[in-house]
Amino acid sequence: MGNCNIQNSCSVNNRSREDLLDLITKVSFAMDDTRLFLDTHPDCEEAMDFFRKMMHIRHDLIEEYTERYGALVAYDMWDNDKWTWNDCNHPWLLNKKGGF
Amino acid sequence: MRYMTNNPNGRCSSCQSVQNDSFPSDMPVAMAYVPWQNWNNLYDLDKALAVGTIFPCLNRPFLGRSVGK
Repeated sequence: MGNCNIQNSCSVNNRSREDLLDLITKVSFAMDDTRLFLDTHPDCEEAMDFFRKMMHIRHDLIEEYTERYGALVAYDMWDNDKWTWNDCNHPWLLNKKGGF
Repeated sequence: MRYMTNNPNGRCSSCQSVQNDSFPSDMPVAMAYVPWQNWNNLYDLDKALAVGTIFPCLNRPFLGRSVGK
């Protein structure tokens, strides 16, 4: 499966916010579908390998996104002495043109 | 309760039709069976999200008419 178009989609630091969100969405979707498969095929090594691979990719993508654009989920609000969750420009608040 | 008899000549004892041997013989009739799915070639991530599954074998869009294989 040529599924790892993640690495070559663009180099790490110039991935735009939309690219990152798009990749996070796609990797998360693949993990959800794999989880459904694993529910009925818990011993499938290939599926487990794929799930682990996607898990690492997703973790790195989210870490990158959080560092650059803020937490995607409130549970990741680490380094703030002040609660800035309300100030973050969350992706679900973006309008069609990407602004607020 | 055993619905199917183990018939040596492979014919259904009551109506003599040839039994479909792709199923184990002890499977009750009039039940729905789903073939076991295997982990094989997957879509790449872009296509998977677009069609709604990573598994080509599950990509069965409803086209409003019967579609051949």
